[in-house]
Order: sequence, then C-alpha cells, then structure tokens
Amino acid sequence: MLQVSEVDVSYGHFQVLSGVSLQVRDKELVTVIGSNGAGKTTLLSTIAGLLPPKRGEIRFMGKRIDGIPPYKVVEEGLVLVPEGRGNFSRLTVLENLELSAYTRRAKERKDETIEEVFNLFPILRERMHQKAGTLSGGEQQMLAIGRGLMARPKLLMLDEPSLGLAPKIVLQIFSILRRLKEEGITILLIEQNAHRALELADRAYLLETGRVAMQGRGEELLQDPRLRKLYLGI
Amino acid sequence: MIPSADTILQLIVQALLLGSIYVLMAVGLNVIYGVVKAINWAHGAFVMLGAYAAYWLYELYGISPYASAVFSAIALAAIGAFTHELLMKPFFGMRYFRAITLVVTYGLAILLINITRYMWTDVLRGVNLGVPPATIGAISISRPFLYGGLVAIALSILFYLMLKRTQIGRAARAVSESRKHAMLVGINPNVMSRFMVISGAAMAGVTGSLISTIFAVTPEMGSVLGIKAITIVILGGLGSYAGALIGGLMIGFAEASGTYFLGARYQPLLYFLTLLIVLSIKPTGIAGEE
Amino acid sequence: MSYKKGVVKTTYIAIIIAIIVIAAIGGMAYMYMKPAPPAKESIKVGISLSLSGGFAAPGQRQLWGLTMWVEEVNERGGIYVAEYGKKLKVSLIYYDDRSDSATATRLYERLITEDKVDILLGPYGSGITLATAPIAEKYKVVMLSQMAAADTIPAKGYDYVFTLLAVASRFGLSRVELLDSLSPKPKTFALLTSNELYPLTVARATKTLWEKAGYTSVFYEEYPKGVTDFSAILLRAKAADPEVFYAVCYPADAFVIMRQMKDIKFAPKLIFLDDGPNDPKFVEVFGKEAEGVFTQMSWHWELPFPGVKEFVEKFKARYNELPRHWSAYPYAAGQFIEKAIEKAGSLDSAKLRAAFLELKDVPTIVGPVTFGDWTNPMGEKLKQINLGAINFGLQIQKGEMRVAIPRKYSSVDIIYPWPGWAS
Repeated sequence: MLQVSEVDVSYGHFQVLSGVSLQVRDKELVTVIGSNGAGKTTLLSTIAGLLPPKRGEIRFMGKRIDGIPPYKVVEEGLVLVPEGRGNFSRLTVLENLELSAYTRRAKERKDETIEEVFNLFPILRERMHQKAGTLSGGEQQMLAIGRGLMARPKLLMLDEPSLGLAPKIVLQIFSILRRLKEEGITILLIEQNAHRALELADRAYLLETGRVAMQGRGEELLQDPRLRKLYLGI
Repeated sequence: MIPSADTILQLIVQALLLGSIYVLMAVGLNVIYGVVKAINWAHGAFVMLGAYAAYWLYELYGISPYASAVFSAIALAAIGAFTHELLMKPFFGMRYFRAITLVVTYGLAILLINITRYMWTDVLRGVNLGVPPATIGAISISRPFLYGGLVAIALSILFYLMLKRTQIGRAARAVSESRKHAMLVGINPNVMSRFMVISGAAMAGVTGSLISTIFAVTPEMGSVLGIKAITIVILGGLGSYAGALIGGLMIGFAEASGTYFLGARYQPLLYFLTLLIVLSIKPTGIAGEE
Repeated sequence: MSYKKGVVKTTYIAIIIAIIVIAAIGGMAYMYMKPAPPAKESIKVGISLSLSGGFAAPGQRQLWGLTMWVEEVNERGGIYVAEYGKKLKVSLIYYDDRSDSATATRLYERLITEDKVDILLGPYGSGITLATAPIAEKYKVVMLSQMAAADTIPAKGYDYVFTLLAVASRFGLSRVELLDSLSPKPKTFALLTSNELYPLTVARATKTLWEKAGYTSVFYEEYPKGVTDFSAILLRAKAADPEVFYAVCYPADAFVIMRQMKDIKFAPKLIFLDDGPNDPKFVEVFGKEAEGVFTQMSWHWELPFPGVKEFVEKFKARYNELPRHWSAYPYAAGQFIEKAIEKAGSLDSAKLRAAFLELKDVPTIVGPVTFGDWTNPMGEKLKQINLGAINFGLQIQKGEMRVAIPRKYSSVDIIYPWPGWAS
C-alpha cells in the first residue's frame, strides 16, 4: 500500500534520513521505533508531503506521492496525525471534527463518521462545544485521532500518540489503537514507547541515526537481544 | 459647556454610525491578517478606489452607490487577487514575511494614491444623494450615514457568521492558527489566503462605496483611512474579529466625543493616547491573542 | 649610463617648467583680457515650474499666463532698456521641477549660474517658494514671487524677494469689510480652521481683526489633518449659536462640512468657506443651497481692472477655459517687470530692485501694484509685499461666483442673511 524506497532527506546540510526504505501493506499496523532524533518524525513528515525527499521515491496505492503538497496527499487517503496533535485550539471540538472531514470523499460520510468517533471517544461528545484548547492532554490526543479518522484514511499515520500522557491514558490510547487495527484500518505508528508498540505491531522498523537498522515482525524485534538492551531497557 | 441630553444622544448615534463604518473597514483588514498574517497597508487605498468606483458610476451613469457597491466589491476583489499573487505569495515562508509585506503594501498604497491623483487629480468629489436628514425625536441624522452604518453592521455580522458557521470559515480559522496543520487536514492554504485577501479587498470596496456618500472622495483619503484602519486593528487585536468590533466602535466614540469635548486639535493625540494606554496594559490589543 | 639618465631627467624638468609657465601666462592673460561682454540680445526671465507632479494643473496654467505676456511684450518689440539704448525681446527660460522643492532649488541655481538670467519669477506654492527664495537672495538676483501666499516668506526679510500675491494674513482685511458691510451687522462669529500653516495664518489674522472690529468669537477650533468626520465639531459650533460661520478649509473638507451642517440643521446667517465653493463642482452638488454662501479667490475674471477683459477673452479663446489667479498673477508679474525694467533702464539687479521699490500703483490685471513693508495683525514684519494685493470675497449668486468684497469692485448686492436649508 505504502512503499518508501531509498529516501534521503536533509535540513540544509544536515542529512536526517539516508536511504530509508519501508513498506506498509493493507490492513497492517506497522511501527517505526527509535531514539529521539533518529529521524522518525522527519520520516512521517516526508511521507505526508511536508518535506521534500532529496532522493528516492514514495508511492501510495501505486501512485508516486513524493513532491506533491500535503493537502493533495490527504486527498489520496494518507492522513497524518502529527506530533503535538495538530488540533486547532481556537475551534471547538465539533468544529475540529467537522473541519477534518475536508476532502470530498470524507465529506460525504461526515455525519456517520462523527457518530463513529463519538462512540470511540465518548468524552469528545461531552466536550463537543468546548474549545479544543481547553481539553486535557488525553482528550487532546483522542481528538487528534478522531480528526484523523474524520478524513476517512486509507492509511493513518500517528506520530507518538502517547507522548506526555499519564500511564493510565497511554493504556487507553493503545487499546484504541488495537481496536482500530481490529476494525481493519491500516496504521503507520511512530512510538518511543517501543515495548507497547512492538507488542501491537504486525511489523516494525528500527531507525537509528536516519537509517533502518533492523526490521521484522513485531515479536521478532521484541526478542532481539541488542534491541532489548538498548531500547527496551531489559 | 454642558451639552443637552439631545446633543449627547445625537453624539452617541453619530459615534455608533461612524464606528460601524470603521468596524467594516477593520474587519476587512483583519480578515486578511488572520489568514495571511500580513498587514495590508493598502487597505485604505482600496477603500479609496471603492469610493472612486462608486463616485464615477454615480456621476456617469447615475447608479446609486448602494447598488454599485457590488461592482466596487468585484473590482477590488480583482485588485485583491493581484495583490495576493504578486505582493504576498512570493514572500510566503520568508523569515521577515510580516515586515516585507508591510513595506510592499505600503508601496502599493503610495502607488495607488498617486495613480489616482494623476488620473483624477485632487479635485473635490463626492456622491451627494441629496436626501434630507432623518429626524428621530430631537436628533437629526444624515441618511447616507444611517444607511452606511446599517449596511456596515449587517455586512460585518454576515461575514462573522460565514467565518463561524461554514466549512470555508472554519478552514480559514484553521489556516489562521496553523498553515501546516491545516494542510494536513487537506486544506490548500494558498487557496484560503487568496480567498481571504480577495474578501478583505472586496469589503474595502464596499466600505468605499458607503463612504463616498458620507465623506469627500479624494486620493488623500487612501492614506488617512489606511492609518485609521491599522490603528483600529492594532488597538483591537490583530486578526481578532471581536477586536475589530471593539476597536472600530472605540475609535468612533473617541473621535466623536473627543472632538466634541476636547476639541478637534486633540484628535491625533487622543488616538495615540488610547493606543498607548491599551497597548501598555495589553500589548496584543484588547481582544488579541498570543 | 648615469650621465645619460641625468640629461633625460633635466629635459623632463625643463619641459614641465615650460608647461607651467605657459599655462600661468595664458591664465593671467585670460583673466586680464576679459573679452568684452557680448551684445545683449534679449532679457532672460527664469522660472522653475511645476509641470508634472502634484502641482501640475496650476503649474501648467502658470505657464499659460506667462506665455501670453511674453508673446504680447515681444509683439510690441520688447522692453526698452536705456543701458543698451534699444528695445530687447524677452526670452523665458523655464524648467520642470516636478512639484519638488529640492529639484526647484537646483533649477534656480542653474538658472542663475548657467543660464545667467536677468530676473527670476517665483515657482508654484509657498513650500517651493520658501525653499528657493534663499537662492535668489544668495546670488542677489531679483525674484518676483507670484504664487506664494505664506507670510513666512516675506517675514524672512529678504532684499531680493518680492511677493505679489496677497499674503494669508491680508485675507482678514476683506473679511472685516464683509462683516462691516452687512446690515443688520452680526455680533457673533464661529471660526473653524485647518491647523496647517497657511489656513492657520488666514484664520488667526481674521480672528484678530474681527475681534478688534468688535465682533465676538463664540467658537474657535483648529482641526488637524486626517479629520474626516466633522459632525461632532459642527454640533459644538451649532450649540454656540453664532451668526457668522467661517471655515478656513480645503475643498474636500468644505464639501463634508457643508453636507454635515445640513445633516444637523446648523443654519447660521452667514456661511463662509475659504476653499470649496470656489470650485464649480460645489454649486453643482449643493444646487440652491449653495446660493448665498461666501468663498474667496485671489483674482476674478470680472474685476474692473484695465486689461482684464482683453486678457480673459484672449485666454478663453486660446485655452478654452476661464483664467484663474494661477494665470492672472504670472501675467501681472510680467506687466510689472516690464515697467520696472523701463524705469531702471538697466538689467542690473541692484538697479532693478530699486525700481521695484520706487514704482507706485503700477496698473496690472490684478490691480494696482505697489511694493512696500507691512506689519501683519499678528505683529510680524513683512518685507516687500504687494500692498495693493487683495483677497476677494465672493458670493454665490444664481449659481455664479460674484465679487462681493471689496465693495468698490463689486457690481452686485450682498444676499444676507443666508436663506437657510431647503426643508
């Protein structure tokens, strides 16, 4: 479904990604783990069209998408819930959700999707008319995921959804991700919380200083001794 | 000199009407700032062009400025599109974007004012509808002023509703908050900013049509009104809808009452004092965020 | 080797010395054998005109007036100059200053030092005149200013600068005559003025003179540039209930003031708006309500001075519009210069200046011209202004601007009190 091949990305003279290749198949949950500064967020930003790759190509559903602007990428059905959640704090929860069904495809099923999102996150229904900026961290993340779903994605990309959340909320977020996976949504997940991510993932990639250092099925990586030592602290 | 109750009432109505016109002007300016983050210094010059359009259509074809406001809006929308494509878009993403666009639109203002001066000279112009003033109780109000004020209020409310209730309005507010996050939703921010600059310019055109029936139409008004509009939005809070409303009415009242009680010569002083006091208490303006 | 080198060196030095000596002798010879001045062929009159930029419209008309005079005087064979024992033709040397003071300053330097003009005419407007007058003074060349009304220029006390146009402070003289000639005489007045230099001078002089003549000021206000809405000011003026309302304002302001006076039903017995009603557009816009409103002009085409009629007819035939003071004053300046050169019998600046001061009541199309010093109502001493210059009070009657003040040049009765607003 998503095919990233030999991608190089740099900020000025500083190369962040070198020759990264990755793929996500239909209905898969793929996770990319790695330490801070390994280039995880850069990878997602590049796929979403926010950054142009210097080399390599990105294909989504067989179509080349590198070099096209982010709003066109969204139209293809590839949706990113960015780092920092990307909610619009001055809009209400409902406005945020309605706005996020922006593409024609999503707009047609807007009411239906809102209902689904509210069923998934009942708290959002309660907070419907509140400004997004007034929500708690966990609620913000739920809204962010909800917004992602509003776009009716073929592939949903999540950038560290558990970041800065209390353990109890993290648990809740992961159970929702599991539910989404079970519902058949294709997900590309970036996480620092490698343990949980690997448990959930069908397949995983380990990114180290801008290169793919390891890849395989989730459980495989969980068993790898070096990875266990460096990233899982076991 | 203690004014009578009638005089005070008259002053209040006058201030409200003047303020409403200022609100419309400020809303137009803020609409652009909100999404593009550029202060359009040429807004006053746009208002002036709208006024000239109304004047010529009235003078040559006898079309009422209230009808020709549609034409003014379209003409200015075209100029707005031009301004967006040539004077704003090339600078998107630059580090000193705000400063650059401020200077560039200032240049545009000077250019437009001087072209107008060259084409139509400084000669006295204005639309005189010749309608008698409306008398309500003991107060007497200019009808063009009354209509102008009401149309301005109606338009401001309409635009507010558009911003609040429609998908395009939500998209505009989203872009105003974050271009990047708006793009991730699927919004093309360039389309939105073009749309908003065009809307703001069209509103300037309508403001000009209304003003042509109230004040004199001269090239000079372009710079006078431009500075007034910028003062209002800075006072009220850049990009804030409520700010435009509060700022516009406040300047309307300050102008009318200040002139009456203190004297016209203190008007510029009053402007700057109001601005100074408000900004020293709240540097982002009355309703400004950040 | 060394010997040869020495010879070469000596030869070089000899050549250099020879060159220096020849140059020095030549230079001295040039200085002492100054060639006889070429026979004077024409009288050069120099001026910088605003033919483009903000003042292009009046600047162009200034040139029209001058051109008419130059052509007429040359048709008569020129001006007799005793020093040369013959009539010399006038040649007008002019440049475009693009309505810019700095450019005009350079142009006057050029007129004096390169074109070597015999006499200068002032540029358009007080601003440019103020900037360029010091140049005339520096080179001691007579400058006859015709398009500057600011008191500040004659107040500088320049010896070589003469002011033909009525200065702002003299406007008050005809305003006093206006109130004095009304019956019944009004008692109170309200005065509203722009706070820019020129209107302020007019207003302050008028106020001083009116108060001295026994009229009471019940409202006085100076408004800054940028005021667009006059209703609050006018409400206060109305509350003061004056009999006379006088606004020293720019045309655009007059338009709004008049309209807003009507809006609040402010109806004094006399309305005088300095600028605005003197634009034909005003009558067009206000129609019947403009009737009886007073305004001013520095000159009017129906004045009974000798030559006015011919000038107006010729001007209309040629330029297809009525002449205004922009053309009449430059023409009159020419008329005066003609007399002054004849009297001086010379083109020498000092002699010309003396002739300017000796001449009395020289008839021109702007009235008899006499230059002298005058102290304005604010107590400033003004040097070498035209003591005959008048600012005319006009009244709109049957849609036409008619001369009302001074009464001795008027052919109409004054309408008073003002009829009021049509209901």
